[in-house]
Amino acid sequence: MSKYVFLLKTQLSQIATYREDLVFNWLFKLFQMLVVYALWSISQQEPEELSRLFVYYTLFFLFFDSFTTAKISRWMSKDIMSGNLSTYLLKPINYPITLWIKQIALIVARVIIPIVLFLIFLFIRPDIAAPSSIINLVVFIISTIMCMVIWNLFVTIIGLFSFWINEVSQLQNVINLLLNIVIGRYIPLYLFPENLQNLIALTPANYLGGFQIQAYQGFATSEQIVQGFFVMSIWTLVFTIFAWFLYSKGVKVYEANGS
Amino acid sequence: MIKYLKIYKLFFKNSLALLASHRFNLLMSAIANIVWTFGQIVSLQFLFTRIDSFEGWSINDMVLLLGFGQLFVYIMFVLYFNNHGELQTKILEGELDTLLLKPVSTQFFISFQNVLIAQIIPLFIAVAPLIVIGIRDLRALSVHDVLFSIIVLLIGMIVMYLLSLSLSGLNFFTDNATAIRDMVMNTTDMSRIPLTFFPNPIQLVFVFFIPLAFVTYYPTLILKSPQNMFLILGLEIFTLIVFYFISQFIWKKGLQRYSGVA
Repeated sequence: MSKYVFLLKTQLSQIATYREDLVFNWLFKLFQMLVVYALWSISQQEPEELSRLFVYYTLFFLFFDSFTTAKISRWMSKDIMSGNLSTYLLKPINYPITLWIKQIALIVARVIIPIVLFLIFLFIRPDIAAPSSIINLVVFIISTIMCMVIWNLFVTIIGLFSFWINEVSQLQNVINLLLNIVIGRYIPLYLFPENLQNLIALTPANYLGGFQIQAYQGFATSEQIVQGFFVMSIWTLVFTIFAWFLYSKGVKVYEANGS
Repeated sequence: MIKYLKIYKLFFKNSLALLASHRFNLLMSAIANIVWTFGQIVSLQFLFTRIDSFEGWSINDMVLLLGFGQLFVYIMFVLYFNNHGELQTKILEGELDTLLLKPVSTQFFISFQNVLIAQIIPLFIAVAPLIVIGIRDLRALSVHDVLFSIIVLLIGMIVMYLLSLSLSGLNFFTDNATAIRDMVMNTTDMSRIPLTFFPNPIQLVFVFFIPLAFVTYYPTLILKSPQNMFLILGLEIFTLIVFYFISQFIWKKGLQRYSGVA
């Protein structure tokens, strides 16, 4: 366990070296957020609707966009393609866990400042930014952790395809872009037609930000919350089994040579 | 000039050979671009089921604005974006030394060494449909308006190239130049919204500091309704001259500061 903690610390200090990149990343997210907010704000008339939209996109772009990076699949693809995976396999560490820790370090570095900024916003305008209740906040936090698990399992699966497909980076791009349509990035999830919302609620896409924000803002019913946790648990289980299956098969077909 | 055209032809041939070895990525990249365009059109159509117009702009006007934005993005990618991004590596690894010894302009070599041919495909499969949809319901267009719009777009693209060149030239002074450049160039996203929607200070930014308005807003506006040609061209040429001198100044000072490591 201590070796993974050490790895986490090393990764964090490495990321901190390039802190300016993080600042530019936040600014870029801010631009993106303002664009979609500006677009959709025209369709919202009431101040409450505008506040809801603003908090929706703030949480979406400052937090969930940082959680859902596809770095694991890219690292995995690179290691498999370059043969670098061999060096990991020879060490007394678990390769997928190593990548997960690298990813966690990246997420932590990316969300620290947004959390601080959001807390300031919360302090200044609690009427807009505060969660609807403590229970909703707890649901938000737990489901956000589950969102990270589901997403990282998903990108691990994509990355594991590198054992069989030469380059998966563009495949990952296509999947990301398709997901962007249904996870509520271009169109706020709560504005989707109800039938479509119900359908998306059965897929992992609903739990990559939309569900969590609904819960935070108090727009998810207790029934929806229970269903949400159930669906998330099922997907976590399915993805874990599939990732484990692909990894064990992939390592068997993997061949590398060189120094 | 002919010498540079011949060199560019060589760059193109080399890039084409490289492209052939990444066929799967090429296919996926084409699909990704179609998906992105589809996503944008769907979201605009969904938005326009809730509103009649966006600050006086119809859905087709917005699609045209998006089309011009994407046209600029893909042309930028095909020609120079990644090349400018690699300057930092070239400086750090001493590769720039070799380029400085060549009997061609260093700026030319740095900007156009690799042609991202894969990004030409989206120009046809993603951008062309947007522009066709965008101009479908426009007023009767005169040749004058179309030419005026194309000229503004072309000069705007040169201005944006000079901006990218200036920002990449900052690599001679700081390690963060590429991140700054990426962030500035990524503001292209903002050009999906008509300029007049923003407060005046932001409008000024997109005309004089990050002159995206010349590659998206003004070309669309000219096609949408008659505009004062002299005012727009005057502003644009002024920006072009300013960015030309800024880029040359940064590169001159940067190269004086640069010390080879190879």
